[in-house]
Amino acid sequence: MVDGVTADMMRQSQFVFQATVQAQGRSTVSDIPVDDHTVVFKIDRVLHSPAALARSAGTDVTVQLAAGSPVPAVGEQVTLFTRPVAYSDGIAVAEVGRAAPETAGELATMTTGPALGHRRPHPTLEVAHQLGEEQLRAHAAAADVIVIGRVVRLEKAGGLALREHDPDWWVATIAVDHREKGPVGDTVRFVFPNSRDVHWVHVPKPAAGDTRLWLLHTATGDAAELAPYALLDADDVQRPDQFSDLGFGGGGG
Amino acid sequence: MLQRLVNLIPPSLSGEANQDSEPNLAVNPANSNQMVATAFTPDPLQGPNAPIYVSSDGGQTWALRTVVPGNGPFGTGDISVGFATDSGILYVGILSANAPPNQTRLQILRSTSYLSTATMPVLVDRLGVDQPWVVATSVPTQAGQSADHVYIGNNDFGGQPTTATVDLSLDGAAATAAAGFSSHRIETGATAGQDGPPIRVALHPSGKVYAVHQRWTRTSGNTVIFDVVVTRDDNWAAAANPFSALTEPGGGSVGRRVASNLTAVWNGSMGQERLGADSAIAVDPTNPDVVWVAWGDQPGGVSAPWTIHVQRSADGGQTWSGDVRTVSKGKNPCLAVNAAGHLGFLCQTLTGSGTAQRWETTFEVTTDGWATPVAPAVLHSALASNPVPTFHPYLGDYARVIAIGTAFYGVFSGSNHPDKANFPNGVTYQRNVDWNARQLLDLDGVTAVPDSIDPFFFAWTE
Repeated sequence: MVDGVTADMMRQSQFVFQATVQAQGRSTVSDIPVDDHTVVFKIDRVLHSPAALARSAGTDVTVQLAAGSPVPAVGEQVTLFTRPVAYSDGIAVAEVGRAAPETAGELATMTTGPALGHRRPHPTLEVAHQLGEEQLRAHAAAADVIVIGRVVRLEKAGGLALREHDPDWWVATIAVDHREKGPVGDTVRFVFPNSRDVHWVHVPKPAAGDTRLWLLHTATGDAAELAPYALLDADDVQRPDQFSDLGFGGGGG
Repeated sequence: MLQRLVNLIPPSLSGEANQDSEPNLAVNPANSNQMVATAFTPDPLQGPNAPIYVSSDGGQTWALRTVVPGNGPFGTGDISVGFATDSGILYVGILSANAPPNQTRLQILRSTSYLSTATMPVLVDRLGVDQPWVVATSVPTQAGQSADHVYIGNNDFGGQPTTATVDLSLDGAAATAAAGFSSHRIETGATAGQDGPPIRVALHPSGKVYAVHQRWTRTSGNTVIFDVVVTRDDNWAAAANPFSALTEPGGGSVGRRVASNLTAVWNGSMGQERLGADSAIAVDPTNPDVVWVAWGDQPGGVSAPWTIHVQRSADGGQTWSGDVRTVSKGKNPCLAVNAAGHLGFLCQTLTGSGTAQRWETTFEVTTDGWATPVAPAVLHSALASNPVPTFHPYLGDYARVIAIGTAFYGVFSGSNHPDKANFPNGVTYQRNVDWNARQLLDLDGVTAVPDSIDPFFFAWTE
């Protein structure tokens, strides 16, 4: 971590940028409270952002600085870690933390793609990427079965439930190439929601022949009647080449 | 006539390309400049809360506030909003994005200031519920004050086989934890295991409360046979067994069937949109016995096109007119009656054929139940094939229209492809757009942004 940048700060921040103070006690967003800690900045450089705000350099942003924090002078430049408050003509955010402007160079950014459904690049801080990998490793560690394998069968399972948010359960059978964790043999079966409903569309849908790293969890509820394991999280499917990145390879097989 | 049609996406979110479908709307009756709209819109910065859209200038401009607890990849789940008449308190029903796996989670929220940036508190929290629909008003009390009456239609699978439900509070502003909310089944008939998803409520100042639901009487595969049933309460649903004022002729069961043995193919498809259940109800503020309902079905069987029907009752729901308006290949009917007793009707209709198919959103006002033909005004028309859906529902399982005084206000979702020919009565985009190139643009005014589904607001005055 760069000096002054904590993991907790990064976890709470969705928008990180280097910016210069334009005005104190003002707002570019109407109908939000304004006090002496409400400051308008011009964004000089976006360091970390989802795709929708990736091109906001050059625009003004209203920042509700942390209570009791020093208010930078007009013309002063800072690096701000923020969370959202409001969006209108401009954006209003609340300060989670800040770093000296010279740290912006140290907070090397990387460009990634995949916001779900809209594969447009957006800047991601290296520290955020590292935190994401830590979270993914923790998610993987909580899996009951971890295998690399290929989808050899897909079948609709369970009855027809006439609900808007029904998962539309299907069962996938995986031919196991490598077993890292869990009591499985040559194959493993798991249930997954095949629905395209808003409630389920973010969960990956296995396709015939897919070879993946599968992070499976013991099925519960009605899903448990269909297969011993379940795939319910967007992170439950990884590329096989993620295997060592996630800290696997020390045993099993 | 159309006063304004506005794309709700604010300028600062010009780079967004989400499927902002299934919109809803609340307008403060005490100050119709104050509005809240919703859709499947995620927090652009992927924070812990989902946003609502707010306007303080009658819908001319819109902003987002991230105040709804729970933010998934597409924002919150189903969401509906309503202002109480006098207090200005906003009531919200959501399916939370923070639900356990394979569960839906109803939460009822409240905000004393629609512009607040604080996370809304949760009043009610219950699993296994679908499609909350909020209606609110304020009723004078003996003490010379007023109390917020809040009604939230929902489909509660905890009550199978009778799932049509209304959660209600006769003092929604109460400081108690659950704000007086209680849950009431309005289905008393026999079902095939459940009712349909939409349960809609309409309020009259006299205290008459109407609800409409779809009683599923038989299913075979994904084919549903259902009745449209209206129930009524004559005193704000304040008694222990509310919604029992209307019965079948001859002293039969509670509720009156408007139409019976209707057919719907569940999860059928039309113009990239899923089908299965459409419903609306409105009561005439000038006459508590005049009530209108709309629904969708496939008249004649599973191969028939999805068709919207509108019917009217002049005797409190006891007898019904038969169809006074039908729309073949219609979707998302919305009804509202203004202070002049005129009915506003919004519908989204699939027109054309093949690759030329278009989703056309129209609004019309009838003063006499269509005895005199009315030419619908086209608010929006766009190719049905663009953009490709990210998820279902594509446009939404519902839209909404509200009447305040003699004005109508509404929201619908549709393609944001910036072609002025798609808006024959005009439109205002807040987000960056090059109309000549028919191209959405990012915050930098240069980078192209792909077309997506956006919510649109309209205001209509007579």
